[in-house]
Order: sequence, then C-alpha cells, then structure tokens
Amino acid sequence: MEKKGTTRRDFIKATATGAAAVGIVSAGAFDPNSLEFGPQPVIAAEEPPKEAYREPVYEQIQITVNGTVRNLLVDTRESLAEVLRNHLHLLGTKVACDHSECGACTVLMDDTPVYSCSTLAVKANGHKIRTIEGISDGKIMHDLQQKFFDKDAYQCGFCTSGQIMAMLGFLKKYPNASEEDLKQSNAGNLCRCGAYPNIHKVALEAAKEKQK
Amino acid sequence: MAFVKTLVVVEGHEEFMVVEVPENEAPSWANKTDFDYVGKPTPRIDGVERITGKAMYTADVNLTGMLHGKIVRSPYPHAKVKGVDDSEALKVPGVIAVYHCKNTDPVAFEGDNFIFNPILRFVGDEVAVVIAKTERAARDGRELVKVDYEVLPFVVDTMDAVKPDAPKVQPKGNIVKGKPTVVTRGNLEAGFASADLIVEGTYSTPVVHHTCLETHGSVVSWDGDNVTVYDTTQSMYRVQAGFAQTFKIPSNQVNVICNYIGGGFGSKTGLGKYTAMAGLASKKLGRPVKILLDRDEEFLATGHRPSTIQKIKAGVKKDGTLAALSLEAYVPTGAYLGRFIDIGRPVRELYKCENVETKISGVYLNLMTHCAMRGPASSEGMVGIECMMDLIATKLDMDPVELRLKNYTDIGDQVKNLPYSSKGLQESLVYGAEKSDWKNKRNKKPGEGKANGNIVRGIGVGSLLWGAGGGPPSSAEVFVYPDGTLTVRSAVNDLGQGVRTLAAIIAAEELHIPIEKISVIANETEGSAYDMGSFGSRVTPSFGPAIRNAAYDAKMKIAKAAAALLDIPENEVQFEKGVFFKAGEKDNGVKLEKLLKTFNHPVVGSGFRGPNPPQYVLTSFGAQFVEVEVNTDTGEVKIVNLVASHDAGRVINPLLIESQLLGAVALGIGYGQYEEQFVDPATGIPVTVDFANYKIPTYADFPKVEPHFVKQVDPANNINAKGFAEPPCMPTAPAIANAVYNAIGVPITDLPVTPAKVLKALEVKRNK
Repeated sequence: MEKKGTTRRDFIKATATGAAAVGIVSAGAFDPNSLEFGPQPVIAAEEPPKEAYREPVYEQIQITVNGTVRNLLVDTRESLAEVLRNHLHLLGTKVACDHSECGACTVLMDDTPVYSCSTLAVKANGHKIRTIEGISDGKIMHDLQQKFFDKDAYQCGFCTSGQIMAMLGFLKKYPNASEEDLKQSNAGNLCRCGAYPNIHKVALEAAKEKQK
Repeated sequence: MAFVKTLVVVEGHEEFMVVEVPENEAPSWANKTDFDYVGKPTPRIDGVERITGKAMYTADVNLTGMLHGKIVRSPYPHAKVKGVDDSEALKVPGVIAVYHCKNTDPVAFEGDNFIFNPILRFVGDEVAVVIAKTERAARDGRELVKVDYEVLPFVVDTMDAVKPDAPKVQPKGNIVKGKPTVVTRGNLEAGFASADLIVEGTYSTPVVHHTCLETHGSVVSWDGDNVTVYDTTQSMYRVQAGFAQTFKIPSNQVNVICNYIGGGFGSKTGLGKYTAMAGLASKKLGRPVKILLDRDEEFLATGHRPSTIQKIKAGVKKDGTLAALSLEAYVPTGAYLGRFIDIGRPVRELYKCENVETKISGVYLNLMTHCAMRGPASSEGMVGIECMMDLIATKLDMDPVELRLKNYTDIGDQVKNLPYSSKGLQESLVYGAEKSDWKNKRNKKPGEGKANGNIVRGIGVGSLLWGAGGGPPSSAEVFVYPDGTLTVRSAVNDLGQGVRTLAAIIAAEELHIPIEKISVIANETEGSAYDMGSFGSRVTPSFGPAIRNAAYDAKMKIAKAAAALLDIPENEVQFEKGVFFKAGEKDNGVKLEKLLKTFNHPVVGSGFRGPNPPQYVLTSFGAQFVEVEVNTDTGEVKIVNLVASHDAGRVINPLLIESQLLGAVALGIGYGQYEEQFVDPATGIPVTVDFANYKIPTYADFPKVEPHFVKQVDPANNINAKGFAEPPCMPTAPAIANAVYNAIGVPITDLPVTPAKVLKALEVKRNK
C-alpha cells in the first residue's frame, strides 16, 4: 500500500522523547511544550499483524428491543450488552464484570433474565429483548420501579437495572413463588452497597400483589 | 471575620487547620422539637434517574471523536522495564497510539510513584496504555504489546518481608520509616506487673477489596488550555487538584464532572493513574480519551483494605478492669506508602486503660498500595481488641458485655483528653443485649451449648468507635428564586448515601420550601462551592451544617425585605412555617412566597462549615450482636439474627440511614465470613481477581438484621448529627468471630471465619 505524508511510526517517533530514563528517574517535570498537536495521525495499518489479531466477521441480525424491530450489522464477537450500549445507545444496562458473575447486565430475552455481557449478539437474533428503558413509558415508572423507589431498594444505582429486570423475569416465571423461593429471586445480582434487604422487601410485596 | 484553629478527624487522621468562623452560623437545632422535613422518611430526589437507567455514570459518557484506552500491566510482582515493543499493537486497525515509559516524559503521580514506573513493584502495575478507536481494538492492541522485563526478586508475605535478607521492595528497605511507630501512655511495665492475669492473642485479617460495581475510569477532553475530566470519584475537587498538579496547570482550567458514581467505598478519593493517562493521551492526540478498568484490574490495581497481623497482650485485674494493653502489629502498605497503617486507635481509645502501647510496623510488599476502605485502619483494629475482650471474658468467667461496660470510658476521649460530645455505646450495648436475648442465647462457657444434631448455636458481640464529626472545608450555595423554587449548588458527590436528598431536606426545613420545589446540583467543580469529598463519614456533619448556613444566609437576606415590608427593625423579624412576622403578630405576617415575588433576581445564600467546637470531640459508637448456627459437620456458619444498635446523633432521613446501616453490615459480613485476597506465593500473582473466586455476600446470604438508633441530639454541629457511612460495618466481623467462638468453644483468630477454619478448630478441640 502506497502512503503519502507522515506514517504513524514517524509521528510517534517525533513525539517520543528518546532519552527516557532507565532505572531511577529524577523529579519528573511535565513539559506541555513537548507535546505535539496538529493533524490526526494516519491510521491505516501497514500490514495486518501476524499472530493474535484476526479480522472481524460481521453478521446481520434482527432483534426486537423494547418493542421496536432493529436490524443491525454486528461483529460476531460482540455481546448483547455491547450492542445495546454501543449500537443502540441504551445505556441503562451496565457492564460491571463482563464475565457473567455479577448480573448488572441482566436484561430480559423473551421474558427470561439473561446476562447480556455473556450473550452473543448473534445469539439474540430473532428474539425479543427488554431493557430497563423498556419497562416504563418515560413518564410513569413501572409498578416494580415505584416499589424500588418507595422502599429505597437501591443506593448507588449501578446494579439496579439488573436487579429490576431479574426480579421482573423471576416474578413472570414464578408467579406463585413462596417466601422461601423469593430468597433466590435476585441471587444472581450482586450489590456491594448492600441494598439486598430492601430489594427482598420489594420482591415479597410484588409477589403478594401478583398472587392476590 | 475571626479565624480559629480547629481539630478535624477524618478517616482516622487528625489534622489541625485554621478556619474562618462563619458570620452566618445558623442557630443549633438542639432545642428544636418541631420539624417538618428533618426526621421524616424521604425517598431520594435523584432516585428516579437511578431506577430508570437514566443516570449517567462515567462509564456511560460518550463524546464526539472519543477514543478508548486499555492499560498494559505488569505480569511480574517486581521487574524492570527494559524495552517496550509496540509495533505489533500499532498494526491493529483502530489502534492509534501506545504510551509507556520509553516514549513519554516521566509524569510524576505521587512522590516517587510515576504514571509509568520504569520499575514495576506489583502484578498489575501500569506499563503502557493502548489508545484506539474502539474498546475492542484497544484490547486487541493490549494483547500485542511486547515488553522486555528484567525480572527481580519479590516478596509478598508480610513476615518474610521484615526479615533482614528479604528482597527489597523499596530501596530504603521494607519497614516503613525504618522502624515501627510507637504510641505510649502511662507505664506499661507497671501496668502488667499490677495485673492479676495476662492474656495474649494473635489475630490476623486479610486483604479485602472494595469491588465497586462501576469500575474505575475517566473520560478526559481538552479544549485548548481547558480540560474537562469525567471521573467516577468520591471527590471532584481532589481530582481537580491532583490533575492540575500532575499537568502543572492552574486548577481553574480543570473542570471535573461526576453525575453519578457506582460505588466508591474509599477507593475513589483522588486522582487515578488512569485519569492521568487519559489526560496525557487526550492532550497528545487532540481527542477525548476514555479509559475504563476491567474487573480484574479492579482487584489488582485500585487499592484495598490492608491485611494485618496483630499481637495483643492484656493485663487484667480479677474484677475485669484493664491494667495494661499492648498491641504489636504489622500492616503491609503495599508497594508504596499509603495513609492507613495506624490500626491502633481502638486499642488506644475504646476501653479505659491508663497503660497502653501500640507499636505498628508498616511493611512494604510487592502488592498494590493499600488505600482507604470503609472505616479504614479502625475496622482492622477493632477485630483484634474485640476478639481479645471475649477471650478475657472467658478466662475471668465474665459476661463479655459486662466486661465491656466495666471498662467504659465515660470520661471521654482518653487520648485527646476531651469529653465526647455524646456517647451512645452503653445504650447500644444494653439495648442490643436485650433485643438479641443475649442473656439466654449466650453459652455461659463457650462451646458448651446444647447441640441440636450437628448444629451448635452461639452469640457474640462487637462494638465500635469512629471519628464521625467531620469538619471544614465544606460549603454550599443556595439560590432561592422569585417563583419559590430553590437550588442548592456544591461540588459534593452523592455516592448513593443520599447527599442530594440530605441537602434538599435541610434547605426545606430552613426555608419551609417543599422538597418538590428543590433541586440539588452536585455534579461538577465548575461554578460550584467547595467540598472536600464524600468519605470518612464526613458529609452529614460537614456538608449538612454548610447547607444550613447557606439556607440561613438566604433567609436572613429575605428577612431584610420582610422587615422593610412590615416596617419593623430587622432584629424583630421572626420566621415560622413559611411566614415572616413581628414577634406576637403572626397573623399580620408576610408569606415567603409573596416576598420572593418582590425580588427580580434569585436570593443567593452562601454558607460554609465552621470550626469544630474545641470543648469536645464528636465520635460515633455502636454495638452489634450476632447469633449464629454452626454446622459441625461442614463448618458452615449461618447468621440467624443480627441486632445493630448505633448512635448517629439526630437522624435526618430515617429511610436512607437504615439503608446505610444494612449496606454497611453486608460489607462487614463479607469481611467476617467470605472475603479474602489470595496471592500465589510462588509467582506473587493475586488469584482472586474475579467474583467467582473473591466472594462478596449475595442476596441469598443476607440474614435478618434489626437496626436501632439511640435517641440522641449531638451538640457538636448545628444539625446535631453524626456521620454514619462507616460505623455500621465496623463491629460486624469481630461480632461474627465472637459468636462462632461462643458456639464452638474455640476462638477463630484469623479472618475470614470460613468453614475450613471452623472444622480445623473443632479438630483441635477434639484432640485436646
């Protein structure tokens, strides 16, 4: 590939200070004048790197998100969480561990709670997804959210979207859950602020109302 | 304006500072009994955003042209960076730059700790940052950065590190300052000589992690000389100061923004290296840069509660009084010097004793430097002394609660020689004992309760003391608009403890404006009044009075207009339930709403936190009683009931303070039963770097908790409240250890109390 102008390598070399110390570094003086501004460096790769890097593979998927059909071109490595957050800008679903260990990313896929960080987007093809944004109409909160509000079943709020979606899914699947069963409703959702007792109070009340 | 010297105790650090005395100090609420907003359960005013997914955390910030950064970290606990080959990484499509110590000027971070240290001192130490168009590309690039390391000898075990031939973590040697820090009072030798019984015990506590759900990270964007820093932080102003210092620019060119933060617990109280890196990269590239840490990086490189080894020796009289107490402790600080090594406060202060010595050695290790974690240093210190008290109680055949009351310091703070402004420890112990049915549930001799099959039961107590009086600096501005609405503005972080709601409640009470008409802007440093930050249980007792003073200031300004309208001197104006009137003529008063309409501009009230009163010191106290069932076949410990009684002064919002208590207890349960960092001794690599291996309490683990607040009005500040973020997590772990001791008859002296340790203790007991 022919290239004109500055290559990335040249740009980096020009901004680098060759005399970086090895070992002891004396009082670092940060000199703003040593920084280069100017045009965006040329980005195109000169050649694909050898070992670990592999070209991405893209696939077309169709998912229904909060009632709206979406046609998306996704990287087959992308998780549902990445697609929701980066493609659809639905930022209410949080990624906290990216490892299916904490539940912050819980969304409903066909009414079942799933960890969106560990669900491949291509696997969601053809399915219905509901996120925290899709359970209220923007003005009035869902009943469950109102209970979270009234009973203070949250603190920092980062795990809260996942907690609510998990509880919704649980109550939908087990409408006749006993008090003992409800000790498990949010067992897959970590909360470091420790809002568990109040979350449990919400679950108990919501189940009771459903069972009336 | 008068300036005075005042003592401020935050996070266990005592500092004298010279501060102004506010001219507009609001009169104390000490004698006020009729409140309209304070003391009423109030849902969060920013709750809807948190519950509907609308709250934007730093992880959610997206700016035009934003790039992503991922950090390359040392795989070795101690190594020199000889070279960095970023050529392969730069070939990944989307990767724009790689920065490291070989291609950047050294940027000093803190003392001799640089952003990219050429000598790496722990697994996870920062080596390079890869900047790319997408997070994925940055991660791909990160995999391809090749670093030439010169591997150096390392040490990750505290007692190995203090040996003379141990590998040196820092060139000056592994003991901080070369020798232990000793604090003494009275005559230790004489004290021990006068004792009827000497009791000794060695206790150890593990490294535990904050595990904030929102990982650390920042987005930095330069606009000429001005820079905007989005950071998930507990203190916007501290990040501003740190960033300005690192980049050698004036503070007023740095705007730090934090709308919502997903957990801090002490790990986000200042500038992070990732923030400095994002600042460096965004300046060089002329585009905003976002760096967010991955979960394993959280466990490796964001600080932690340090582990401790505590040797306690107590000399007691037959009647239970303490004649002498000594603590010899080793606290590994990590690779660099942190600020929370002095775990001796509980030993020095909790129980009355004239002859006390604490001798604490800080130890350098090839691990990340520790930082504050909810109730730093004292939570660790509480474990040793509280477990020791139960051991003493057994040896004297005394009730552990009686023993604690026997050594009660109602004289006040015996270290500072000042009375406590209020002390609710006795009430907490008495209430807790009753509510938990202590007298009946306690095995008079540990381990000698009647077993029910393979289940034995026991009950234990833990208590606490903690500096929760806050102090300056903290300030706020209140804008009261002609339409009767009000805005509070200050750069203070609401971590989820309810700071914005606190501000609204206090302003509402002061001006009798309903909470629905109040908004609180606490998101950024630009144009905002100064607050030091949300940590150290300081917000309620520091920021609370500051808001009150600001609201009171606004009220006094409006009162001037009332005086003019009513044609009376200013000092005859009274205010009650939204009406200004002349004393005795309430029916001829003028409503606040009406008065405001006569202004064609907002009335601005400004207030700041004045000095702490010199005649006493505000300290928080409490006690927790934990009842457990221990399965002697599996070693599992189940908490059956937990009674938590605390003093918090005046409770401003009963709904949120209870959440704070329950949440803190969860953290304490983790410390007592589940959490522990494990480092592979052969490689120095921490292996507990995910939630599968580092177990924090879950929804299914939570026991029944009965919270209780001692009725108390503290005189030390004008809202009569104590800080409460940390105290409730401090007695839990020792209470659990004591409960298990009571159940099985063998003390567990090494946290966490895991099933394996319980089984081992039972085996030791059987073999005796």
